[in-house]
Amino acid sequence: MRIGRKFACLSVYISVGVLPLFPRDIMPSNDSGKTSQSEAPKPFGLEAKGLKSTKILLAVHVPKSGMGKEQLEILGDGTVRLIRSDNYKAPDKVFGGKVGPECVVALLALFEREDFLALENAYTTKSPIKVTWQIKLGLPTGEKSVYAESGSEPQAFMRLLGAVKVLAGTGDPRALSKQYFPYL
Amino acid sequence: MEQTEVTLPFNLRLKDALKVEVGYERRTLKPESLSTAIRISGSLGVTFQDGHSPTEPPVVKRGKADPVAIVALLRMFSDARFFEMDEDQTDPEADVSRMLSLSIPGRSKRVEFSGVEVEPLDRLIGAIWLTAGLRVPELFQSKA
Repeated sequence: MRIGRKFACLSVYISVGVLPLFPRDIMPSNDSGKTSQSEAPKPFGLEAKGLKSTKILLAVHVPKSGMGKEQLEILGDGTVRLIRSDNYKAPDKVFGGKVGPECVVALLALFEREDFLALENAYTTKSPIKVTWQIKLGLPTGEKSVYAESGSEPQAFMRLLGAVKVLAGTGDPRALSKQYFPYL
Repeated sequence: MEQTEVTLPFNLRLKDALKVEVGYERRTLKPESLSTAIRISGSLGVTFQDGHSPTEPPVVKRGKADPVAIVALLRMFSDARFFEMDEDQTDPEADVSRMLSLSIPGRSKRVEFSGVEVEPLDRLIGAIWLTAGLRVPELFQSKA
């Protein structure tokens, strides 16, 4: 199936017919559907204004000659930014999509649950091959980055990495494409 | 206009997405047997079962499935080569056992692991928690 590029991200799936496969009448009747305001957690004590200024970044740094940039960003308003470059000299290519702000709240709730702010700033290994992951959380009160070399990552870090990736991939499927992000 | 190819992981067709089921379970073995489970079904939605207390019945929360997130989740299972993983990665001495499962038309697999850090599985667990939490946010308050 082929569709226009302008229908990337969420609309890709809508336009190719995934959503109609989940009609209301086959869903459990007692489901509440979308997260209601009263149910929604307020991670890190954030109110709506503070949520908008949050930013979550996931990047990978590979010690390979000429390696370009691979980075995903999710902003508090639901903007998903995918940033890559073909090599370290090439300009960044920025693209992406959108998820609902409530999705960002869910991701932040997971960051809080995993106690991200209590993680060390860096996890290292003696391995000579040092692929390094970075997760950065920007809050109105400040920001924290955690760097983890491959093989040294704590479980909470990897769970958060998986969560950031799947949410970014929900906003734009290219976030999960090895064609665009071979190391991420 | 440039065209984009849209494909689903595991060579699934769009209608197959209804038949997808993803499961995660975390079970404490010592001192008591308690379990927390997440089930994400293309047709039945999200179920979160929190058995955090030995004296009370498990709390069950449900929500609708987010089809777009399920497709993203499937892509992560595909990238992790889930169907090629060892099914038993358990340590008999471990206090906590975890299980991941995936069922798609024509294939299903369950991987149980404990006592070891399995990096691709932890990624998948995080992706499952987030996908389920999009519709059942109460799970983020779980003590399990």
